[in-house]
Amino acid sequence: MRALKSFALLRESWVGMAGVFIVAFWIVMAIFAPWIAPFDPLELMQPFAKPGVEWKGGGTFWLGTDSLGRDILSRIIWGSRTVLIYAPLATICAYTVGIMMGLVAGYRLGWWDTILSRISDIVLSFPVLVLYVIVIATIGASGINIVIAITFASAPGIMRIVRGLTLDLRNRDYVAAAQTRGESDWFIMLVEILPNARGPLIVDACLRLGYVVITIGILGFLGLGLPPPDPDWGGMVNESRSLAMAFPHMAVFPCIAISSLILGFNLLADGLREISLRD
Amino acid sequence: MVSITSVITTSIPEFASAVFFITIFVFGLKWLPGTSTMANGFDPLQLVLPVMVLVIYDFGYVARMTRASMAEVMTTHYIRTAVLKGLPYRRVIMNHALRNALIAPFTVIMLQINWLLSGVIVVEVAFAYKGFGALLLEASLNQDIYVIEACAMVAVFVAVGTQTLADIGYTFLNPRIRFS
Repeated sequence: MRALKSFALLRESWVGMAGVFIVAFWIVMAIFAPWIAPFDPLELMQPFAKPGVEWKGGGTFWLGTDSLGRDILSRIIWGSRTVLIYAPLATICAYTVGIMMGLVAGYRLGWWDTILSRISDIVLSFPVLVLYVIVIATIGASGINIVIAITFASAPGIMRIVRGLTLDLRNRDYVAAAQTRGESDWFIMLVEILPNARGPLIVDACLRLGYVVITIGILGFLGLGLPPPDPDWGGMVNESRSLAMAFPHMAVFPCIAISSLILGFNLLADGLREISLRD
Repeated sequence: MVSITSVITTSIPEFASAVFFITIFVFGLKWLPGTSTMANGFDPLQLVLPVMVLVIYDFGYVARMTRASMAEVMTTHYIRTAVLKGLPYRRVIMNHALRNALIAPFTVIMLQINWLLSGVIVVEVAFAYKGFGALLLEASLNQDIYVIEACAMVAVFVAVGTQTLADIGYTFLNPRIRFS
């Protein structure tokens, strides 16, 4: 019910709606990939085909094929699955860790706060990508390790936001009422404080989701992403980079796909911010 | 207009804009070289694309911050006084408004240097420039721990250094701020 109401509010901002449409488009692509994609993304057919070339075996390569002869359109459609599984997963993990740390630091204060804040200061003093490269180099490149690296690098930023919000909310009357009732610390943090801090967090989550998509793309581009055979947008750009001068279509279409998805998340965040500023 | 442009430019990751620029300027128009290996000595033409990629990613964000804080400053009383005093509009904007409006973007710009260090890695790899980022990536792909450590130290030093500079510069822009 509440979700329906906020969706109705979102409809008033065309920026937010544009974001919803782009994101929904890619989600549909990801869910129905086996039915939408014209070819198997791993099948080796005709190498170096330009966009629009017809295949002897039937069907057309609408976006051409890569250097191994795999259909680019199918790989993009299947690649949306990879991105839309790992990006939200990494964001959720980062948020779980960040929210826990932030709530404890902001609510308990004292040495909890000191230690958690120092840890986050240390992590935040690294340039993000340098941190990702170091973490991935240490634990190896795989889907789960990407999630771990992103959680490790972005939880401190989330922790700071949550800590700031908690510092503001912990002096409210309803928190004092809960303390007087004798509720446990965790009940107060999770049931009283967290739901009241959700507004800024939802907007930030949307923006961060966009950043995580960028990160997964960049890691793929640097060769630190998912292992090769799986279709992955960043990896597709990486594989075709050396051929980009002669066959730009191999790199351009995955780039358009990833940019549009990030644009969708950013527009969605803008729309949500507009709404949250209004009331 | 500015806000739409800035949303779009910040949505395109550096490696994607690198690919787009290579397609347009190198493959399509054949104006510029597509790599900046600097094999035959320093060549400014080879710097055009890498710098363009970094600029396009950052400028939208900075423009948006400046716009927001400029809009806020323009509603203050001292701007109204300056306009009513009959000062030329140019002078009001340049002397009175911009100086105050730049405080927030200044911090953002300094924070962006941190992000720029990441962007540099991607751009160096994309254009095959032999520099800091390429060294770090190569070291990490080969599990060369000592080189990674050294690179990380340089990166952190630069990042923390710019933060300190940002704090110092902050007091010049806004003399009300004092660090105890």
